[in-house]
Amino acid sequence: MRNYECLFIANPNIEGDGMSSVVEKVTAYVKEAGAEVANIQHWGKRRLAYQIEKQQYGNYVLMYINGEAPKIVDLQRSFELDSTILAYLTIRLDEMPEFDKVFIPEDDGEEDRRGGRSRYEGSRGKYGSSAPTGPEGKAPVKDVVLEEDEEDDVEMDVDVDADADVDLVEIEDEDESVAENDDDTEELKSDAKIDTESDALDDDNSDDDSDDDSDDDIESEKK
Amino acid sequence: MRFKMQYKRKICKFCENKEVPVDYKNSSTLKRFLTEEGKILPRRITGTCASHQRQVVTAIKRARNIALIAYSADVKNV
Ligand SMILES: [Zn+2]
Repeated sequence: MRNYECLFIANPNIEGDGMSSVVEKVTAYVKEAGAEVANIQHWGKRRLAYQIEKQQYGNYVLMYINGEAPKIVDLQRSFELDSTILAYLTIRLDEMPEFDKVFIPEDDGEEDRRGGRSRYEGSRGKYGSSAPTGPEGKAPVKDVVLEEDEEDDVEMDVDVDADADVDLVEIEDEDESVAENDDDTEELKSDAKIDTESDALDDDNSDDDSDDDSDDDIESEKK
Repeated sequence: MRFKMQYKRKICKFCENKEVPVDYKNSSTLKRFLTEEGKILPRRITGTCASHQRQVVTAIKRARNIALIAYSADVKNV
């Protein structure tokens, strides 16, 4: 007997009992393949990194199986034939892990934020990638360094991820400062309004009216 | 100053922290070894040692297969 780890994605739009029926079906497949399920873990509905069969989300289920290699092929075939299973991945393990400590990745909520961050990272990363293009590439890189000051040093020193954190902090700071400025200006405006409103409300209207009137008068005179 | 930085030896993340196994399920860690487009970063950039780089590569390919990591950034936005 050998140890296998099997992760599969079920279609999230299953009617009826939903996942429990799918899991029953899959355990039946495992038994047909002469294997047994040692452990089963539900990750729940997660966002897929790319669409599979036009689905953006999938129900991930992780199974640990004891079985024999030729029979595991049968299991894979039954996965392949089952239309409710979007994707599957079976891996042979040397040892079974401690099931409590098996790593379950974070949910997809993180995904979008990370995408945004990496995009920002990439725009900086391209400066870096243009650096090792030989002697000719050095001059523009120096310019970049001058512009960006110490940040570029940080980029050289710290690895990609730490750099990303630095970038994040910067972005947040900028946002906050902008937000604060906005608040201040708004307050100022509101103060100004309070000062002028009492004096000017009637005057403004009258002025506008008079202006309009005078314009009209002029036009009428011209006519 | 920059000369120092350029020659500073990078240390393999997985050798540094041996409690973190190279696992295809740990997609957030694996994403550190990808470019923006989802290409695998070379060892000279990440500083990963040879044996761990081989493990990282297989893990990334497994994670792509099971839709934990995108094959390329463009596919994700279509
Ligand atoms: Zn290493």
